[in-house]
Amino acid sequence: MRALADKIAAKLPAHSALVLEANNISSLTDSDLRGLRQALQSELAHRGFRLASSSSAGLKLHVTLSESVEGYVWVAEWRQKDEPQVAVLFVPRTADLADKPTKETLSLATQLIWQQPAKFLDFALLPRPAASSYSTLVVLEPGAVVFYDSGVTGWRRSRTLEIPRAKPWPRDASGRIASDGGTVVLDDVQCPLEGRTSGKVECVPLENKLTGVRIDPRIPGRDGSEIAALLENCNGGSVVLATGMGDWTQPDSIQGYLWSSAREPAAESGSPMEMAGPVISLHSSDSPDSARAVVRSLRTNNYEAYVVTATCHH
Amino acid sequence: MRRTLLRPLAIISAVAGFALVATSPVETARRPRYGGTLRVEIGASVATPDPATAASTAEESAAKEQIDGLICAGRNPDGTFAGAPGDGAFRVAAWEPGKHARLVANDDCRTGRPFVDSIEIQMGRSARDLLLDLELNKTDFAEISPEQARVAAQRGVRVSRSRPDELLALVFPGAAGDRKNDLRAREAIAGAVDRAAIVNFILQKEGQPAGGLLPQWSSGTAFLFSTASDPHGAKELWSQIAPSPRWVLGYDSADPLEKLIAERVVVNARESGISLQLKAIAGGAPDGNVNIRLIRLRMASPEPRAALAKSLEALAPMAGLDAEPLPAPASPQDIYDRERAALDGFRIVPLVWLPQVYGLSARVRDWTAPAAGETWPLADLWLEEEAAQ
Repeated sequence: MRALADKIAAKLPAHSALVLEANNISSLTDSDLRGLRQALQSELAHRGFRLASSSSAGLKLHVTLSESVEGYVWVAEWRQKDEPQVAVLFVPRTADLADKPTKETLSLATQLIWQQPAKFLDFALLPRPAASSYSTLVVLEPGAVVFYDSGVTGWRRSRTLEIPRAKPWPRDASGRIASDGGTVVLDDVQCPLEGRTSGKVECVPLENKLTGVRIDPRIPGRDGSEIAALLENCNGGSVVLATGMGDWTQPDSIQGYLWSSAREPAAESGSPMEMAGPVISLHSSDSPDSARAVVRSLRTNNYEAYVVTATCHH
Repeated sequence: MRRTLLRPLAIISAVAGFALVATSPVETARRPRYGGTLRVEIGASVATPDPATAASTAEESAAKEQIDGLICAGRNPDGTFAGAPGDGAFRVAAWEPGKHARLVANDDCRTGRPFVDSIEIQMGRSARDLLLDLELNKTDFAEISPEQARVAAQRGVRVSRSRPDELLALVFPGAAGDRKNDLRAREAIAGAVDRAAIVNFILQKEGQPAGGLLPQWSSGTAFLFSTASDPHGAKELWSQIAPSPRWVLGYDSADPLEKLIAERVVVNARESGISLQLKAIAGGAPDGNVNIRLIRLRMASPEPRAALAKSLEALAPMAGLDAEPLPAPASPQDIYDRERAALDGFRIVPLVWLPQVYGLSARVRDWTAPAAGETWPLADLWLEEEAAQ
């Protein structure tokens, strides 16, 4: 709201009396509208404007919370010397604006890491040695592993490793990156990446052997969903995330579950996190409280990489 | 047969006493099935699949673009199709000019083999026959004109709609510097049009009144452009113009929807005392006797900057406007300001936003209506096994 207040202040005479009206035609809630209206009032007052309550007492300033295909669009309208004036501000969709804290046990938050028009199957964030920040983003596309290094202006492509295959990849190829970023698994092959800086990787047939006792969390009504079991423990139960049951043409959601006993089904906990499109893949990550999700946005048609974090409210 | 894939299951350490697993086969319910023949019907008659050969009508051009999208590898940044025909998801196996085509799946497609084995395209089908064949389950996929969507749904046809992404607008061809009377006349005609009535009655509530060059879902600022009609204001303005100029409204003679809407504009204008004549134009060719053109323009992209830039590229020369390029990147304020500037002189008068409407058979799965600028995603859909050919 600070930026919108700046835009308005730049165009209006200082110390004007304003009558603020606000409406919402976006997907934000009425409570968001109230909060944002208060924030704008406060920002305008801070800039020396007087907020009046009746239209006879001041200039009518109409603010609309709207939404485009790319994010929120906040619009302020007023008349000056009988001419309509408009200030438009773009606000990216962010988790902290749209997502509400919940009093329920488990709450989910998403962070958009990467998006691109071309399909990808999985991604991984590799930490900088001896540092808390991430330095490398690895994106697994059908046929290639692409590495991006973090820079001042965002991720920059640093190298690409081609994954050879005699036949084209199937249209519904699936795959994942091992949490250390050292191996990728694609449909029926696994490909070690170590020591490769360019060119092609060498893949070997995937060994489909169980290495322990297989335990599937039972989630009622979610047969066939993508499931990620996290290392996080919450109120005595393991945290499991599962996608919805729609097909790849529908917006999807990710729901948190708590799973306490192998004999019992996992129990739903907290509100589902609505996604902008179908969740193509969902994998647990090396961080105990988070998973990686790849979503095909129905808004932009881009493939988007999200880190989904589960927070336990004890 | 459902496809079985390998899905890794992560280690669950928190449930005491259980070790865990690396990779195991999991069958998912929403994985597609390969096989079958998709039956497609189109109204246009396409002479050749060769992208280098120009189409003779707007309808043929639109259908050809869809077929090019199936047989070519993708698009270049300028919108042209990349690669040679056959590089894409399908290859042409048979082509009977203007009547029938058979496309087969390209096993070597870069983005993966399509799920269906082949596509049979019947061309030159009338709107009535398309609907009937959808009803009788004789076809799997056909485009339906928006005004027929409601009837189709009432007859039990599975109907899919895109977001409204095609603009229907009046364009006043001419040079930039014009007389004051012409500006008033254009403003009067713009005010006389009842967009809500066009949407409600002609389009049977498919579509939205248009005030700007971008729809609300794309720009978020379309609500700032009025779509209200003002017949009294239009009458008042028109009465100030003496002598009243002769205005001829041209529309594409091959487009029944354009004809309906053009006739409605003439009725609206008459209610405000404005006399408009109608003229059907074959092939959408320029006509020196026409000083208003009804045009249809699909958005090139869902993104507002790209869509507006492409729309202005097409409209500005026709309307005699300066086509100054948009800044890159452009803020929503830049985009709104440019839209406002393009519309201020009433040389372009947006009327309605139309969705693309598709009829589908029950066995078609994973269909998503293509976004603005995309072609039919027939390589991504698959057919239920029960009714497979």
